[in-house]
Amino acid sequence: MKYSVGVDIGGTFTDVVLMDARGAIVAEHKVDTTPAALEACFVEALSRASEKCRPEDIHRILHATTVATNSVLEGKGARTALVVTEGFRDILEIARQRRPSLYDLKAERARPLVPRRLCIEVRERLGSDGSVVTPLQDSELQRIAACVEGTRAESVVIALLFSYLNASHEQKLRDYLSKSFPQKLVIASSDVIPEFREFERTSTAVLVGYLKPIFAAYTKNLSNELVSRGHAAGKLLIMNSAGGVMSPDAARDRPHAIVESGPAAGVIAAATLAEQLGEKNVISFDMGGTTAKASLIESGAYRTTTEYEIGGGVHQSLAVRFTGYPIKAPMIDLTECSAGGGSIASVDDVGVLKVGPRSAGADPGPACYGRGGTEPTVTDANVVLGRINPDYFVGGEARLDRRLARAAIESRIARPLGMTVMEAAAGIIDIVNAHMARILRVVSVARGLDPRDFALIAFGGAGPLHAADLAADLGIPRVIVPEAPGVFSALGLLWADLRADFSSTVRRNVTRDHAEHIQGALGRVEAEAQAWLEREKVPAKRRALARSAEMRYPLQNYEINVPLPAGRVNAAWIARACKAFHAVHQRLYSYCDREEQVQLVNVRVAAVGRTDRPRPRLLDRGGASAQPALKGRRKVHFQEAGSFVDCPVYERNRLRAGNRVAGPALIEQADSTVVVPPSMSAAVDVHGRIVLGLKVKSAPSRKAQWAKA
Amino acid sequence: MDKKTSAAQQKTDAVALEVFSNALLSISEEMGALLIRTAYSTNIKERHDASTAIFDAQGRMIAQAEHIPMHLGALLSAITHLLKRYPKASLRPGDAFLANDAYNGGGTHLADVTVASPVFAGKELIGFVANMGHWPDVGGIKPGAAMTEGCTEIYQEGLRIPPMKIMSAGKLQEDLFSFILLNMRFAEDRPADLRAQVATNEVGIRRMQELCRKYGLKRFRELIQGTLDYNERWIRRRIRELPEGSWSFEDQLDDDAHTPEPVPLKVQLTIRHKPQPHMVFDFEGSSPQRTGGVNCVYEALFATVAYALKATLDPELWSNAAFERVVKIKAPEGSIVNPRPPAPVGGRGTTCQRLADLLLGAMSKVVEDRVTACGHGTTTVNLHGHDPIRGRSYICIDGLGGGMGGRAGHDGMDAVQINTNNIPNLPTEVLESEYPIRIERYELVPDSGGAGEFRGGSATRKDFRMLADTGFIAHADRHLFRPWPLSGGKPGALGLHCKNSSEKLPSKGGPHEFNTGEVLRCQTAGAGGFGDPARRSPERLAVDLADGKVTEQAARRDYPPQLVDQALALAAKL
Repeated sequence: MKYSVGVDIGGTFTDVVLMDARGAIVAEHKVDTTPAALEACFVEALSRASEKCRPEDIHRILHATTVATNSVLEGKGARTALVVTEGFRDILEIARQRRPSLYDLKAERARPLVPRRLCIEVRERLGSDGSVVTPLQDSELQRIAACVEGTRAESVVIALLFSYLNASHEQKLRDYLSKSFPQKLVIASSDVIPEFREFERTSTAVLVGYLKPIFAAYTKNLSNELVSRGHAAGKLLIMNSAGGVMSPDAARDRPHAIVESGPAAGVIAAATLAEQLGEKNVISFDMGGTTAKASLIESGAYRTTTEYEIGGGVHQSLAVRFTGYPIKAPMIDLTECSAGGGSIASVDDVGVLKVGPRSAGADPGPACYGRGGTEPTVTDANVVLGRINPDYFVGGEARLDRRLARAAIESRIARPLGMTVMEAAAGIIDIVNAHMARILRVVSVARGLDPRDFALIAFGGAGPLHAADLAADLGIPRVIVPEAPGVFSALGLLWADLRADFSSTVRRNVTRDHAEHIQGALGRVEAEAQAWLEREKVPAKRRALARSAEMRYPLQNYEINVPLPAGRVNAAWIARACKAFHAVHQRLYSYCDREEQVQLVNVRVAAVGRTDRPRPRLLDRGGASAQPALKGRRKVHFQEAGSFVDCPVYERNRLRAGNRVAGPALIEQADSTVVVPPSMSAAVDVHGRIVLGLKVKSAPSRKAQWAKA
Repeated sequence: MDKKTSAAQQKTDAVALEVFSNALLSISEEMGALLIRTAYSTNIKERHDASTAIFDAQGRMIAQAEHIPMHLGALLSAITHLLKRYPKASLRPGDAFLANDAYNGGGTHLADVTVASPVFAGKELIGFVANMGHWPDVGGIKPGAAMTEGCTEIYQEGLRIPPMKIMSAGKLQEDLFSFILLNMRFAEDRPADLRAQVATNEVGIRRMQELCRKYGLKRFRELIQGTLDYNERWIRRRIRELPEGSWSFEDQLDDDAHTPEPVPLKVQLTIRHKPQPHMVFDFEGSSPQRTGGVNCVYEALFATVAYALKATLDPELWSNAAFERVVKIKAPEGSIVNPRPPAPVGGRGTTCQRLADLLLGAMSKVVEDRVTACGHGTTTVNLHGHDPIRGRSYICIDGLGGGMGGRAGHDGMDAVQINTNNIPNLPTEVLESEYPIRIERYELVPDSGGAGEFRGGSATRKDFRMLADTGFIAHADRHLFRPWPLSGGKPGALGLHCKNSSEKLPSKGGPHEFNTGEVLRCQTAGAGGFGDPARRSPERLAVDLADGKVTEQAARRDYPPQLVDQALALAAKL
């Protein structure tokens, strides 16, 4: 039997799943994440999952990690020097001159990853058409080399103005410095991301210089650990932020592309599940210990953005752009808020209940963990309300103390507000749901979409506890809970394709005059993408190149990503590309101008090596009655009932395909609990997924009405 | 809160208010996100120079999503002005009203165009939604006319629009709109902006109706009242934590862009705990209104006061009409902070930045540890002319960040926008690709941040070489009066405008003509330091020295010799 393993290192827990070739989950575990020793977490998770199989039975190990983000946020990357055009030494210091918080006078901006003393100005200049204004002299090369020598830097990044149009100066410096310092890593911004806007390009290239040595050491350690445990090299693949996986070598060369690998894996899992279910439009909703994340899958496709930043500010549920470290690489588009099981509830000094943004994390964790936490959290509220079984948390591996949860809510919330503990706990749930409803709306309505036309895929340890109430609030007709919601992101790793992204700035109007230019850029980027697939040894029949472009109307300063037609750039191609742009513009922004010219800013090619997705396993069929899975009854508080209701509790493992569970009910499993409110019922599908919907047939959504007509 | 409100009511409100206010904020956020995504204007789309708000049926603002603090409360009186012209009984579903006038429309300068719509549940008026977006041009004597020479009345700044019905029962009033468009430059893209602004309100209307349906009209109204009452209690609670007393602070603008005399600003801040905690801001003693565009109408003044309160009392306070209940503003009529028409207002941003300094200065006398020393203020550059390379007229607006004042526990940030402004800069690769300009340097200015235990932030300098004949209109300040320090720190450096590195130009006004090949050097002010320089940690000073943000010469002038020696030794190891 052959197995695949997915290891997803998150902020609080490291999740692992072992899947057999038939697509069945054989083992799943959660281990605590130790940020200082991620390699050890990886090894522990892997050994826990593979206790019952031999190393040679495992043919793929897929991995998502926070190592890149941690290194940036903790300032633990390589000592990096930056070579910039004369007059622009402060490109990182000035950044885009915004502050991360509008009103907090104590806020700090992300500190430059290269301090000013390690920034070196080189005498050279290109014009806005790429022509040479000031040539780069040989004497200048020597001078720069001497400066670099003095910095004692491990990495040197070269980022010159307009290098996306003419890379010759960057290349000359790169070659000279590489030759002079064979032991140093030398990075040219035009090799990383030949796109315009100098701060974002420089920031991205600096991240590569800053992270590559760290990431190289990390992947080397992992490979050594694997080899020492009898695994053949080459099994390991790393998740990137665009939702694909790549070899450790490829990831090492593009460490900027893997920063959001865990959350991306969750969205891939949701997208794959949506495809299996034939659900076209889905909101992926992932609620864990500290944050809740929402993302949109529309017509089967997840969305990527190139506006991601590490460590930027957030205001009114929108990122305050340009206040963190921007990365110009496609990332899965996510919106998140500080709402998780560990979010702390408190009463402000005016007598209103607040939840978050502070989190109790894993240590001390919620009060009910009994690790010394005294502040009540969302998890404590769920325990007090009977929604979480204290004896069956993480499959019974951890026992929760209901009395501690009660005591924390009683002393910190209920007494100050003159409420019962039940009222206080229910209030905590209402408020955390209100926060999460905001991000669900931001991802859907703000993009002109109606949540009533979507299904919600709920996962993360806390997702299935809150999803039904949220769906009811937003009018979302269906909630789908996957088989193993607590480790669903790790499962997404197993379903991801191999992927890397390549791009180049064009900045020409899409007209026949520029056909040749556009064709040239596309050709170059596609050749780069093919070469990568070659290096990754992807068989020809599994290869795919996905072309897209950032496009805009010429006077706009804001681009949108549009898939590009196949074939050579000719009159028909141009017409199709423009039409596609107008259509996407219309859909996103509710207007377009078909008379207006269209400008193509960047061409982008995703090189994809298709992975075989194990077909989901069929669950044994049972009858409509879920009676065999009934494990007991208890009093559970439901938000919509506003009181405790005596309700049946089912064991998810014993549910069979075709079983139906009418609310009010709970379905417990090792890694989560599904709350089925009184107004809803749950059905188990042929693959063991739970689908929740309203009991009474609701008014059909707008789309359904159209479909009928 | 009504005394009869039962204890039971109050305790459910502890949860209900938080849930309801999240729902309100969610509506304004959705509107904001939609407006930013659907607008055409770069100001709205890229720079988030836009804001959305919802109001109750009386026109009181109950929630707002603003993306720059300048808009905080700037929509506050939008509905009051609307209702003056259109009585409630005349409003119909599908109506929308457009306005921009600073004296009759609820705006603060003409470029901010507001669209407001009534919200009905059945036949009952339940509230309003409104949004404001910055249009690139609204007519006037020059593109971006504010502060231009000869611009001494609001009439010259652009088309003045009182609240006017632009949509009647869902139908665009084409006569009115074509009249408006004919009076603007770059008008071809404005239909797209208007469409976005109307669509934004439509979403707000739907969501408000849903919310009202969910709670029922009676509970909906109770909760709106509760939200305002709660925010009021919250603000008063924060005020009660401050000592009672009265403090005053003075500052001045370099000039008004028209006459070269300084413009004095003065505030007397009074905090009283009785009968209820409240604050009074009295601007008596501030300059009479001026003929240059630095005048600041009440809404802009209020926005600045609200900014200063959120920043110093509690950044989490909700943005709603409760601020009006706890704050009394006395602004003499005919003064720079409450001008009479037709005083020009296009440069009010510069004044608001200085007013924010003034208010933080006054608050520093009450709670020094919560405020920052004085920052750089504003530097906005307007370059325009004919571009022979691209064969078109152009106007390039770029704002420069500078120093943020030092604060207890933290140095001031270098090179940022401060106070009511948070607008990003123009990337050099964008600027040079679109305009006949080459940027020759864009960097921090060493020694511009005032010394202190916590240093003031550094200024920036940007040198523009003109590749075509160009006019320059300046909107800046702090070229004459240094940013003040706090708690024993040193002041920050002055800003500077310079032609060809020799000819000094004033901080405001123009146009100043530049020939092809000439260079404009724009330098913002730095910021004041916080605390005695002798208390600065050697580690912090070492980093400044190693990074060249502070030169050894300046360090020797401002810091004790022993500290400098220690810092230099540390710096050598960095």
